[in-house]
Amino acid sequence: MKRPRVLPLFHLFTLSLFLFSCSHDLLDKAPIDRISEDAVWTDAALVQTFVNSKYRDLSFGFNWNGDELMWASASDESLFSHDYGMWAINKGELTPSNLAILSSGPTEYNGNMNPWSKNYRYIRDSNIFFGKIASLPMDSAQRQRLTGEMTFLRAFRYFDLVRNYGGVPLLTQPFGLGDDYAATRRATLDESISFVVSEADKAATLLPVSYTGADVGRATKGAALALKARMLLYAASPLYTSAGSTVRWQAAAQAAQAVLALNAYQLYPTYGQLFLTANNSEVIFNRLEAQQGDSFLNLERWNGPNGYGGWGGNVPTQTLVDAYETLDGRPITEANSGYDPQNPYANRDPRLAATVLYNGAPYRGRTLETFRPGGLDSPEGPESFNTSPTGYYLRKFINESRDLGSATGSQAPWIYFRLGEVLLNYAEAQNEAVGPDASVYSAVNRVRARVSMPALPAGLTQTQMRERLQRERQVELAYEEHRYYDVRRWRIANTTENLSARGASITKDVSGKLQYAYPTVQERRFNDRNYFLPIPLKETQANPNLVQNAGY
Amino acid sequence: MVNFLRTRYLWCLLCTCHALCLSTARAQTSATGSPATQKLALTGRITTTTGEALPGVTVVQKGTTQGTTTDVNGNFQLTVGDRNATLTISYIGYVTQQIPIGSQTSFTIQLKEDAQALSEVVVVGYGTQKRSTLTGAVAEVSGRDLVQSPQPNLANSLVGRTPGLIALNRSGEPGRDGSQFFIRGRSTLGDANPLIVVDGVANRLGGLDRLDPNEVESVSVLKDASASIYGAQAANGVILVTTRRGTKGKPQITYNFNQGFSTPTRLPQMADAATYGQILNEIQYYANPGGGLNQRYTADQIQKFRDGSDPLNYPNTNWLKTILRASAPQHRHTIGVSGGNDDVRYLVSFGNLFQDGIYKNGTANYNQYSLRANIDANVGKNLTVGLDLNGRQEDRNYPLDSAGRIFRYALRAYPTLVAVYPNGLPGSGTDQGRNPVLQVTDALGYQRDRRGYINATLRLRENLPFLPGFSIDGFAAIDKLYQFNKQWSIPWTTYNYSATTGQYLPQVNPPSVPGLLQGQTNVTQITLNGRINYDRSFGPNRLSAFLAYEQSTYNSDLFTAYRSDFVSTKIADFYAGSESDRVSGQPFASARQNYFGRVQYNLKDRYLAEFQGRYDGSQNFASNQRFGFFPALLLGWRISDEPWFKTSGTAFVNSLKMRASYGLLGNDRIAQFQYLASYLFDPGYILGDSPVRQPGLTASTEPNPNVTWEKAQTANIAIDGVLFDGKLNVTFDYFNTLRNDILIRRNVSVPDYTGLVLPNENLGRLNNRGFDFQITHNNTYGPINVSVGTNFTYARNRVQFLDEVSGLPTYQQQTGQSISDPSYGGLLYRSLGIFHTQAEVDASPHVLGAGPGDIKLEDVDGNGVIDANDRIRPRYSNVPEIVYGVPINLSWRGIDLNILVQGQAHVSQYLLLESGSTGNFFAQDAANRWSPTNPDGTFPRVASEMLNSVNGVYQNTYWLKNAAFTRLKNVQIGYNLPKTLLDKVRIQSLRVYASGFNLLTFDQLKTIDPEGGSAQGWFYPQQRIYNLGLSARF
Repeated sequence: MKRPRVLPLFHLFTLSLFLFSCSHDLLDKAPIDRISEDAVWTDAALVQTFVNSKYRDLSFGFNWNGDELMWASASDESLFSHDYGMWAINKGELTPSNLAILSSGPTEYNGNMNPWSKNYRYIRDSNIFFGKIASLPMDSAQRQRLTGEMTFLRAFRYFDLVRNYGGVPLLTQPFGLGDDYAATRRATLDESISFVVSEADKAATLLPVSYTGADVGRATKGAALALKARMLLYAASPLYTSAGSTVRWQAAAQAAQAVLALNAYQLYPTYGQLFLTANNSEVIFNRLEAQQGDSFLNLERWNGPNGYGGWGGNVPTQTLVDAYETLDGRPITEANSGYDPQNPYANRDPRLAATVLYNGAPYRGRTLETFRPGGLDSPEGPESFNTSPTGYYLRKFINESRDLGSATGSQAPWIYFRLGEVLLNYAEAQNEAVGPDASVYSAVNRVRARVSMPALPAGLTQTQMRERLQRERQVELAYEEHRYYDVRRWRIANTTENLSARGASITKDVSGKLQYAYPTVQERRFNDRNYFLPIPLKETQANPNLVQNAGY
Repeated sequence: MVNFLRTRYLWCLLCTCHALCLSTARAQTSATGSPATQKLALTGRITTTTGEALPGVTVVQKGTTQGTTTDVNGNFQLTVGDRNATLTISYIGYVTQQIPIGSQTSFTIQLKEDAQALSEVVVVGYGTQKRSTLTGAVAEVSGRDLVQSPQPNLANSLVGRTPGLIALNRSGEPGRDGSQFFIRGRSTLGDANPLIVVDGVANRLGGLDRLDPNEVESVSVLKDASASIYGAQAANGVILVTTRRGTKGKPQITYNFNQGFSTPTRLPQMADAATYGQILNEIQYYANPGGGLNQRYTADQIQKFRDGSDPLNYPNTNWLKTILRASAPQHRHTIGVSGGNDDVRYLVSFGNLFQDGIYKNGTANYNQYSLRANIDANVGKNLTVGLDLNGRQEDRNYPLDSAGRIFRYALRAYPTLVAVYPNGLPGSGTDQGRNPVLQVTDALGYQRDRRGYINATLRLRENLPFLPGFSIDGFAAIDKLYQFNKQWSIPWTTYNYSATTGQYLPQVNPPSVPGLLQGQTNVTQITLNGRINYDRSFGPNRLSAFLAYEQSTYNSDLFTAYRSDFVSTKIADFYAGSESDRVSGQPFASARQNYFGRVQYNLKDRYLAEFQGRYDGSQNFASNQRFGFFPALLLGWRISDEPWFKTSGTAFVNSLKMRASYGLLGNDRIAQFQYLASYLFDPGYILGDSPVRQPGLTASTEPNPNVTWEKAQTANIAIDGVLFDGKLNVTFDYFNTLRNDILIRRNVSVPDYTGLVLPNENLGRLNNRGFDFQITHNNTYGPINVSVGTNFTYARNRVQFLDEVSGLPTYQQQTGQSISDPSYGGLLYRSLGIFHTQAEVDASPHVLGAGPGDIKLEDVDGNGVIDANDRIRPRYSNVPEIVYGVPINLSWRGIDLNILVQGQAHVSQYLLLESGSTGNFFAQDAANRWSPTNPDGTFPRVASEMLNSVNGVYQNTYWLKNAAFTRLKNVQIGYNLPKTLLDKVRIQSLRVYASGFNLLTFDQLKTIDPEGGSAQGWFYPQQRIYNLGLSARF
């Protein structure tokens, strides 16, 4: 067979390979799935985008652990039935090496509830931003607004650190690799408070009172002032200043007054609907969920009754239920209050029905049945393991009109600051500063009038007013992440948080009559050290100069 | 036979070089003008005993350097000067023959295969080497052994076959049942996966898992510095797969068929309904002791669970039994044709593999079609061209929920729930309507994964007659992957029976409307390789070398799209969905560029030296950090060839060799662009008076401009011996590896308050050392041929430097200890058993919340309190330090029996189920639980969530189980039908056999398969396979 004459093609092929080898640019690949640092910090639109995600990273109350847990369940108003390690907080068993639900590591539920690590992660982002913003090519109005937003967001994060840990390291420059991390110290509590206040002040000067169009929802002057007011209220409280200082209370009252003086907010007429309406008239700063399609929140299922396919997650306790006054404006424990133990939910502050689903409450076309035997939402109903241990279910934030099976999530906004809180902040600070003057009554009664509760009786002493205001906050702000911090700053947690969590056990006898009992569902414990959280063990190991909170 | 084919092909190539040397030698001899008295022109043809031509055979006049080699037709021509001379005919793998010339001028010579030598050619990086002169630690498994295993995934057939290879099979799910490989254990805290090279192409798309074992010639494992030829990818070892090729001869048609049945190796026994009901009562009791032990169920109700008198209201469901069938079928067909003539040799084969899932009414299965054509052609006298084409279609079908999720829910599912009501309606399962009975079907939707792989290689090899000793070769390889994924999720309905009303209440589970997620990935990898080879002998010296260039580029594009609000659950295509949709994409590209070479020097086949190195460029690093040099030196000494050895009275030693190697290898498997500061898009934030999502950006890791590869310094010292006329083969290797610059994050010493998202830094240092050996005994006892072997690997790693905080107690430091097990993070409290009474609790230090029935933790530092300092670092992880295999092959006449025993030791597994009111318990744990009525219990008291109870949160050694096992891995018994019978039906050979996989397991972890690797038992169980097969040749 005649063999073909082979052209020296192959030599060429090999030669060309060696020539290829001179092309070192083969390895010069630019990233194609991300944006370079230079590109971000030279483009105003991308910087805006960067700032957007700093809002997203703020913790919010509906899903603390990336799942259905609410921080409210760390306090005496609520109980989280699925545990997830919440017991360590409820039983005062948090330690630096057992942060349980507050662990920062990747958990099965992929959440990060550790306020320490999470806040500092995004504080660093803010610090990077402040280092870059001055030299960015953009118009000065936009620069001012972005600076204001980031100043507010960073201050808000520091506030979160202060309320959880006390004095914390105040970092305003981003760390680099190889820096001396051990030089960092915790600032004192007062220094930390001052920092939050001055930053909030600064943000207030940079931010507009309101936005229009696509920017609605960004931080406003009012948000910055409300943050300042809350920080100063905390700063004046017994936990933060053992001496008790009229000057501090005055500062807190003035700060709250400054928000009110903006005249930018009105109480939303219906209490229940307030928590379902984005950007409503009462909202100072809220976090929105998209109106369609891409929300993953499923509050109705997470917290709903088992008889409706809910999981009974964060459920109210008897302590919360008992805090609601009767329609006469009296505590249920008071004689002649009008409270009927055989019909305990009737004749009560309307906020009870707007916050708690109890036996007999109308919900989705029928009434709730937590009684036994046979109640559809009792342990004898479907999916009994999803029954509320307390016999109550969460009503606040729940949108009855939302299709339970819907793939699209709940659209309830998470409200960080609202006028109702500022009014109560003012009333409390003013009462402590000067006593129950007319402005105190006026502020708290505005909140009560919205739900048609009678005005507080005239002639209360400062102490009586303090008690009324504490209960007012408990019911008005239930589940809004206030109770946990309020009982701490008032230094009453060693009483309130040492009470067992109780629920309602309702038995229906043969005649159809309901018998009510309120058994203990979970024993709880609070130790003095639990006024603040432990700093994660890793932090004090990595920097021995970082002082752990007392008692841990 | 398989070995024979391989040997021939490979040596064709090498001997071509050899021939060049010889022909040059001849020319030189002639040039010096030897005074030949009478020149005789000899011609001849050399064939195998079956008549197939043998190219590349060396024909030399004995005692001279005059000689030649046969051409592709086996023909040779040689001129000699003396009729009294003798010709020496030698060819590797064949018995050398001496033939006196005499009066003959034309010869027809048949060479006999040398059975001993057949196994002696080993595939190494970029070439092959004789086993006898091999200097590296290279273990090999032949395709002949791999086909003994009925496991459809080739990765699982390698286990126990070769020393140095640790293969862990974590899941038996069809299509996802591969093994995780560790060569000589773990030498890094980062990516420890070895490099997989298929037919010379590194990182070949499709890998080795899905290759048909009938197409595989051999698998080599490079364990030591011999891998350094792969440079920055070599540090974890290299696995080389060589596929079969055609040989000259009549076309041969082969057909293989396997029909198997798979069943789980082990399924956990879960607690029954009565026991679980009592457990729920106890959980309620611990929450509210005042309420007594029957707060949830009365004794009467528990009795109903036990006696089954009311299965509707008091069922007793064995969920695993309910969702799994007894066995699942699988089959494989392979049909192949091979053959060739002088110019063209070919092997084509076509295969189909089907594996069904074990679920009842399940949708899980795997189906594969594969096609291969390996063709070699002699285009010119000096040029050989090869074309390899491999195409494979892989279809994976699964339920919507992953196997991990299904088994999670199946282990959680309460035995007190009805799986399916008597009227056929499904119950609601544990939560979210995730009834495992439905989860395994398409009731929730499904997932599909369709992949098409194409691997194409064009090879060229040319000898350069004008440059004695030189040849060039190269290849261009194109790999393509087209992957299509589809995830269809639909609402499903479950039912809850109401005892009060007698009604079945429907529960519609999310999503309320069907949703479709589809993705398409296109991947292209192009590898170009060019090489200049040199191979020459000078008297007793032989020098061979090559210099090569290789580059590869990898590009991937992912496109995904989502739509929901489908009008019907019947139509799973985009056109039937809503207008609102989401589209996304993700590109990826990478490149490598390398220069490498090898020089081998060999004196008298007795003193062996090899130097190789690779200058490796990877775009994972900054431009000034991209290239690195990875050299290696390998030495060998064949002691048995020393004259003094031969006369030293050690005649029983046929061969004895010492070898040593030392080299520098790299590992660059990290995320790209860690040297650049960059930002990634994130889900953004919702803003606006009519709220819409606005995009967001997140900074990725802090850049580390100095990031570079990990470096391994690897030393290997070994001895190879062949004794008693080949009846005993021994190989023993000792190795010691020091891995520097291990890429880890400084997470421990850098406080979280810095907010840094840390990049990998070249910080870690780790030592890994140990030994592996293989002993094989081959003999014939009468009519019985016996081959018994054992292989054993011990690899112990110790961290030498790692990011650690100062002041840790020594027993907590990672330094000096083995790499920790990621499933529990490395540190555990030490369990001292169960507190039986309150007095015991009070008498010893305990954690907050501990009471009777909880685990007693040791106060390791003796300071009177149990705190984080009391944690210890357990020695073993879930990657074993010891693995071993015992292959046994027996044959008698037409019957053969092959057995493989395999095992692992020095291994542990953390195992704590999601038990509690959240899920069920292992039956044996439930039976042994502490309770007020069982104060001697050895299992902790139950809690609403064991994982989050004091016994789970304070992770401790109670949950750390010994996962050592010994398995009867393979058994195959085969019968070759007598030839006399087959001749009548024109079949050359026919073999029928029965085989099994994972037939028996001996271990201490009685609850679940010890190879699982999941701390919660969330895995598709490993499979036991019973198989029948036949293999025919026409």
